[in-house]
Amino acid sequence: MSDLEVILREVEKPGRYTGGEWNSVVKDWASTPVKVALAYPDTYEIGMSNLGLMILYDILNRQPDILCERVYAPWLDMEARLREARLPLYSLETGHALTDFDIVGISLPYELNYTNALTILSLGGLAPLAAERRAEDPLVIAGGSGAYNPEPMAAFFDLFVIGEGEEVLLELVRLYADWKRSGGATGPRPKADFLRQAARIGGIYVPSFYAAEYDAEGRVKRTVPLVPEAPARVVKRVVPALPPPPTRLIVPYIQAVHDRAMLEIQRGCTQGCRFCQASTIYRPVRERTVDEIVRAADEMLLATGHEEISLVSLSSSDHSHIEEVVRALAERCAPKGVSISLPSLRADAFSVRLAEMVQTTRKTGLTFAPEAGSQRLRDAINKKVSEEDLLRTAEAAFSTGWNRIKLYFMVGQPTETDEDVEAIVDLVKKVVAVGRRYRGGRAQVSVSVATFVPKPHTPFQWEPLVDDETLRRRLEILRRGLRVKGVEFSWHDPGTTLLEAALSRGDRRVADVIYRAWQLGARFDAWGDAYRPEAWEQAWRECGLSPEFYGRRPRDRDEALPWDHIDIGVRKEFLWREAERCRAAMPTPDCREGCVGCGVNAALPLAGGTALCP
Amino acid sequence: MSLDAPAVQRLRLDYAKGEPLRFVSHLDMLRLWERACRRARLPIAHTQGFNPRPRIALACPLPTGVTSRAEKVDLFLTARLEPGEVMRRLHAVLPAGVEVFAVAEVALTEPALMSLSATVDYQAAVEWPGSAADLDAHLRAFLARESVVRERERKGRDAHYDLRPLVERLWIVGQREGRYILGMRLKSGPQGTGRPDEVLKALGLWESARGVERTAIVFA
Ligand code: SF4
Repeated sequence: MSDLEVILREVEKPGRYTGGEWNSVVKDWASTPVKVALAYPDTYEIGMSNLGLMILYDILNRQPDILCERVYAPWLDMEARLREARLPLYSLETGHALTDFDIVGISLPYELNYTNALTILSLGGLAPLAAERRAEDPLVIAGGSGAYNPEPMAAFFDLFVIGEGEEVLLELVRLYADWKRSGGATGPRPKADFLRQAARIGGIYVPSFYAAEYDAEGRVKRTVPLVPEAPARVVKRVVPALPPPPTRLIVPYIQAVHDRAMLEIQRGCTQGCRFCQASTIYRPVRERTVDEIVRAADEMLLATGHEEISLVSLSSSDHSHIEEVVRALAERCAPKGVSISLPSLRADAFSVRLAEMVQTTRKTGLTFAPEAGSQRLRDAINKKVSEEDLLRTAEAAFSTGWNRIKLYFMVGQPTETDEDVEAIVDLVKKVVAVGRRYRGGRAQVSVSVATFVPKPHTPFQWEPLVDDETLRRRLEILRRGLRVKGVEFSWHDPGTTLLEAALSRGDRRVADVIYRAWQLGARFDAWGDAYRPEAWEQAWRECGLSPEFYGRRPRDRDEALPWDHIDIGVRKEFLWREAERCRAAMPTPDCREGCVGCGVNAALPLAGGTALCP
Repeated sequence: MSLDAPAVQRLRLDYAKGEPLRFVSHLDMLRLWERACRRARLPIAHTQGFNPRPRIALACPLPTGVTSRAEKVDLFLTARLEPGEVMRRLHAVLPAGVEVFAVAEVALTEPALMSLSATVDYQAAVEWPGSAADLDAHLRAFLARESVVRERERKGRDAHYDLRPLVERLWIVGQREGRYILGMRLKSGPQGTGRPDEVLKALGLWESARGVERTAIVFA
């Protein structure tokens, strides 16, 4: 007698599972021919804050013959209840199980929610392994930044969308609809026939059409296509110009992590921080115009009623007309009591001025990310901020009324020494001193430190993850050094960094480990209270693999990488050159000041020969 | 429109809260109203001070999981609008599950909705193996008790409280699909608030209860 009402009143935050939000799109199930479910492998609150999913939801639902509904990972209690009651995981719009859809797309934003993707499939009534699914099951696809190294998740998906989904997803859905309508699904080898056609679409990677070969040490030798339709290298898709942003954003009832209107003002970043995967995979930079931004903001605020609008970008201060954008928006927003947030500000006085323009009443906190304490290390990772910049920024902020500055650092980056970490302490103390001068005892500096994890397609993709002992020692340096009045120090628990490093740079064989760990109960690995290290340990052991092999082994220049057949446009030689410049602590200029030759411009052929870079 | 314009009109809306809003909390409802008013471009007044908030006030909190046919919200406007106009504008921007059925002007000086003591009626469908008379006797037995001590979870520490004085009436409304519809009249206000789930638990009827709904708020 466990009906849904009873289940919902017994689980945590039942508002996650009820749907019906303003601007969600509910189409007639029976009369809409093509049905797509888009899933996000984390909680509702996190998933609802993901702009990528909203963009695709909007694009698909604009098509009269396609409906798109949302699915999020149920929290542990909900999963248990649904299993107990033998109820399938359902879409929020109409409550259908995943098996009722034509296509199920799962976004892979982060390695530590890979296991949740398997939960979504299995609770939705689908075998997690692509090879075990039935012919009549939906096509199961993945996209998102995790897809840039699809190999660890290759066994679970029929295909991956590499790059921006705005155009390619629609092409794919159309192809699928045509194929299904023409009776393809009842042919002798239904799915394989469709996949062969799909593999011809640029940006589509069908993992079952490739084989990975390994050497005696277990390193990948190469990944080769097995059918003529499968390209040797799958080139990521980018949209030449950003299409208009979605403005009818879904307004959640329960508080999402980013519970505000999100407006993407530019995509990509030219700074070239060497640790940053977003910096390479989202190249080149594309901006929206001031007009477009202002118009979209008006529409969005009216369509959602949000009290806050966030200008989404990897580096907001870099938009070439950001001051104009901010001034125009501030003029419209202030009289309505709508606030503007500008995340990802560069640490400079210009950014403080921007912040000043948007924060007329509440001066909460300003966030900057110097990432490293010493100039040498900042040069090595190509984080373009000097100590002088930072102190002047702090001065600008504290002197204009802010009481609190938040600073992000990373520990464990290539070439880092204990001295570099001690330099964080010195730098923070200097910032505190600036704060004291202007705000006295009210000055607060919160310092947040994460462990660096090397990611594919970055100059650091060849680097090992720092070892535990070094990490602990450096944490101690910070813990002791930052016991200072006015400093609030927080450290991201490094317990899952090895797992993250191993999953992010894993090869195909890692799929077995993920599957096994999931069977053993691994869920929500990024959430401290859910993470089950013993499940992972057992899974690695049973599969005869080790996370150290993937996470802590330095690779040399000519080693084939598991993601070599995924082409992001940025040339591998460029990444290697950047890695060498890191070892020499040589910064590389921002490519807005002059192309530094990453290759993306030449690599991505676009319709009409549009020049991608300024 | 300016954030510090004074309120010139206060409107009281009667509305129903149905599916899928059952599990939306009191605080989240407040945010829902704020956003709906912005979408409707209503000239909502704001509180003054460091952190201005829209002047929107709800009546006694509706427990999460409970639907209602009898909710109330007060909106303070900086420019006068016809109640019918407000109703029309809101209809266009309210999500499924909120249905406004009356808008009336009330004096700006009336006390705050939240501060008013009220008696509140709920109905719930429950399973009861025996006859109506047996159920009636069960309810009477509850009402005959001097006190019914229940635990209330409060951030970390458990507080005990007496549920009995918060229950004014219990009755059988009727029958539907093999379940009895139980009516209850509970107190709500500064002296304490009776929760329908707590009453149902104390009666041993919670496991079988479905569709708990608030049917009336009567101000004392
Ligand atoms: S091609 Fe040149 S300008 Fe374009 S992103 Fe690469 S480095 Fe920058």
